[in-house]
Amino acid sequence: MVPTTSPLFGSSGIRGLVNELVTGPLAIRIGLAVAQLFREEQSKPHIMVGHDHRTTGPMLTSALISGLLTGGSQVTMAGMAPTPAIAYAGGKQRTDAAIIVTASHNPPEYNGFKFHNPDGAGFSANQQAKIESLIGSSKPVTWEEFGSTSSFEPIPIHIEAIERACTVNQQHRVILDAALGAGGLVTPLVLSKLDAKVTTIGVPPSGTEYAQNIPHSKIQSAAAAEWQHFVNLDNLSALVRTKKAEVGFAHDGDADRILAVDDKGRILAGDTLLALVADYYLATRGGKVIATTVSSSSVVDHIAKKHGAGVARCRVGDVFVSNLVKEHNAVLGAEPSGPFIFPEVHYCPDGPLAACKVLELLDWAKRPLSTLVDDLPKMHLLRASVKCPNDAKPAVMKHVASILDGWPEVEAVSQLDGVRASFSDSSWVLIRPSGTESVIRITVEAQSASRAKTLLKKAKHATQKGIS
Amino acid sequence: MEGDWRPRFGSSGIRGFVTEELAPNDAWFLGTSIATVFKKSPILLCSDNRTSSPLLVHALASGLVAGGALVILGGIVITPAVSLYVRHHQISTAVLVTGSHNSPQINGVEVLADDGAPVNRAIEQRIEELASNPPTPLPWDQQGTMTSVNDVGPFWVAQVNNLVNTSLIRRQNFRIAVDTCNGSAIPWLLNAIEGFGCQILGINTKQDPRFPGRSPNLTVELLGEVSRTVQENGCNLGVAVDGDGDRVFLIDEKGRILQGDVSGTIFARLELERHGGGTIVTPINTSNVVEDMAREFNGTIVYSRIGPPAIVAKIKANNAIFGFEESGKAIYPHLNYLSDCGLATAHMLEYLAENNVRLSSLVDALPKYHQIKQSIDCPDALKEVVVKHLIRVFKTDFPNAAFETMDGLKVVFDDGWLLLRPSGTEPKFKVFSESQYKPRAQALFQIGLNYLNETLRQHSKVKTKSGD
Repeated sequence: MVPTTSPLFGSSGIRGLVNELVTGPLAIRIGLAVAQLFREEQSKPHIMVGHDHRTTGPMLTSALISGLLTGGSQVTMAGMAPTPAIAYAGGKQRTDAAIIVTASHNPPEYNGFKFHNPDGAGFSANQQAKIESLIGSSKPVTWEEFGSTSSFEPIPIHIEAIERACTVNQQHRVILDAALGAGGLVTPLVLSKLDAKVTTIGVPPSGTEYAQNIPHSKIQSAAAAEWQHFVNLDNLSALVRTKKAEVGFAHDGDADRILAVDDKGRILAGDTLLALVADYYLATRGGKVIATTVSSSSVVDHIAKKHGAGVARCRVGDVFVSNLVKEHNAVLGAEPSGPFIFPEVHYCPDGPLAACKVLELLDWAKRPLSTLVDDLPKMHLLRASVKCPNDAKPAVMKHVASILDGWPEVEAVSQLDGVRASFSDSSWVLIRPSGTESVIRITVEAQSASRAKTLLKKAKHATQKGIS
Repeated sequence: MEGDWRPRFGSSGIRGFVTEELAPNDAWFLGTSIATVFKKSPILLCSDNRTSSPLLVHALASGLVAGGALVILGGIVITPAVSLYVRHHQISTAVLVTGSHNSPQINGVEVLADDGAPVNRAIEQRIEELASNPPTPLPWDQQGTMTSVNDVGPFWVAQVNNLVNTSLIRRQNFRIAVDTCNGSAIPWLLNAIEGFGCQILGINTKQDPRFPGRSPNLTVELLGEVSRTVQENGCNLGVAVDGDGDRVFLIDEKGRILQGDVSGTIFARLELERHGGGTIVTPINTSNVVEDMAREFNGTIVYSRIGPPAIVAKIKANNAIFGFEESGKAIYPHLNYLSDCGLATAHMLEYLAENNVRLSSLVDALPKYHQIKQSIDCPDALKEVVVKHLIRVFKTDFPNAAFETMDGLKVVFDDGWLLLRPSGTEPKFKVFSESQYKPRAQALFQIGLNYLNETLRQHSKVKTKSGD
């Protein structure tokens, strides 16, 4: 799928099929490389390591630890926990970095590695490139310098941090689908601590159940389905209606992401939740900037404008959003795919924290979630993809950029990640090469359906012309 | 690189310098290979306290899980505790990471069968074959799991204390000097001896993988401090062990450090007295003192090749009651097929208490033998032909002597013996002589040295000639 010459790192760490790209020996080499990277800064690096619920988590985690120890790093073992809990604990325990063995929302036959700095932000492109270059060439230390391990339970301090960061005064009825993932270890507990009445599905975490059930779709669980397509959220949606809950939440496997269902059982688009949380944050905390990616809806721009604030956009990927939040001192960073970054706690996308923030929002709004959703400006978002060989992508994108630049009514063209053109009527077009497949993805958004259709047709035409 | 699997099983498992000869990658493939051989069975994984033990344990655990094993992590424990635990808990295999008595930059891996004995050569070969042609790890949904237990050490302590008449020993208020060598016998051996109500004068009783107190080896020259402690404090006994606590040396109440074959012979006497006679197994390099003792206590001596697997094989074949090696190994086969310093100490203390005797009286009851040992350089390639040649010339020149050729050449005369044996681990040939009369020991040694040098000279010449 991915050519061998391409970098190991994707937009969120290293990820792939277990026993193919992602193997025990690769995990050893990654450990050695990370240890060497931090050894260049200090003699004795200290790394926190944990994993999500996947069946291959312990295998890869142990191999990773072995590599880290061989590279002279001290290792604190966090065990099974959500990505945000491990990243948070890594910072609090003053480690140099946290590595989480997870394939996030990917199917169970995948696994991978996420790398987070002590402030919670994912590794920068520079750090990733350094690791990439060190993999395979890094050296072990001598016998006197080998690292040793200790254990630390990350979940209690993560729960405490969320509790401290949230104030919820009313009791809310909540349905949570933790998708048998690691989020089930944190979100039910912290929601209960905030006095919510929680009904759970997909709890406790189970790699084997996840593995056994996913291929047959026996369980109707959120991340059980492909996260982006919301196929398996029917159960959550139905439960919200029958239990008359105010809100439903779903996490992906490692709970760095969240998805919400409103009190009518409607699955909210990522952009909708993003806009609502942005509205709440700008209204209650002030702030001048919301950080998001080129792929998010302009609804958030409407919200920001209402509060006299702006929206900063970056490439797709939580690492870039974290950096953007820091750069602009943004009050919130988020992507339509579900990661929410609350910089007052840390720069790691945090699903459990986001769930609690939505309860705060409900307290503040004093209205059902569905009415808040209905009050948002209606935008029409359309997506399409055009087949394109990987090696042709750069030339095609160059061509696309020149065409879009010449379009009438274009207000601005951004080439942060693909090409994004925005128009004076607040419609926009994003044409961007996929990082994982041989396609170019097109996203358009407009206030009217007909305008969106027209834009999509034009964008497709321009892309196809570039390919031929 | 991954197919280039270098380590090989020697006379006591796999040993090598970490990471030059034994790297995490080697351990990972060793793990998958062991798991493949033993199918989906529970495997206990323990280690000593060397700096390289955690990195090897994690790599092995990862490989074992990738091969489908149910790994039971047992932590850092004294070596005999591992075999005892496996044998009593019906666990199919144990993998033990230990560098035993070797210098601290070396480590090793031993594989034990369900009876706690080292696995046989056929299984070792199967594991080596697999590791050299890396087995494919199992698919993501068929891999093994990891659990941990924390009672491997405590179980051993309890077994050692329950073995003998502890209340009788407690009444003696023995004072014992114990040198635990900063190794993984800590705290277990100390706990066991405390269980006998003894006052302990501890030497090197803090675990430290650099072995700052003394070398993890066990030789008379290394035990000056424990000898002094015995003399200065009027101790009843001194006990010293190697780095992982399988080998044991005794110091009598006069401060005399007993050679391994002397203490082994005394342990053997105790077993013969308890059983009213029986078979004792020991390698061919053991002093004749054991023969003299055995005649008195209705014992039969069966000789074996050097190394624990050979000793254990002879013990099983002859239904022996005890086995020992001059290196300090003491094997009580009805309880443990690995050398066990705790069982040896327990039996010793019970004997002293029951019979109200001093260890020195047992030592003084044995005839004195004089031994001379020396190693001569010999290329590995020449060893086999040199042994063959020596056998031929000795049989011609000394028709009245008896010959034993299971491991090198042992020439037995009426008044002493001579052993010429190629080292199993180094490019060396060992010359070993013994007699009750010092001049005879010297004369036998000189004969051996002369014959060996002459044989080496002839064969080196042949080699040089053919090389021209």
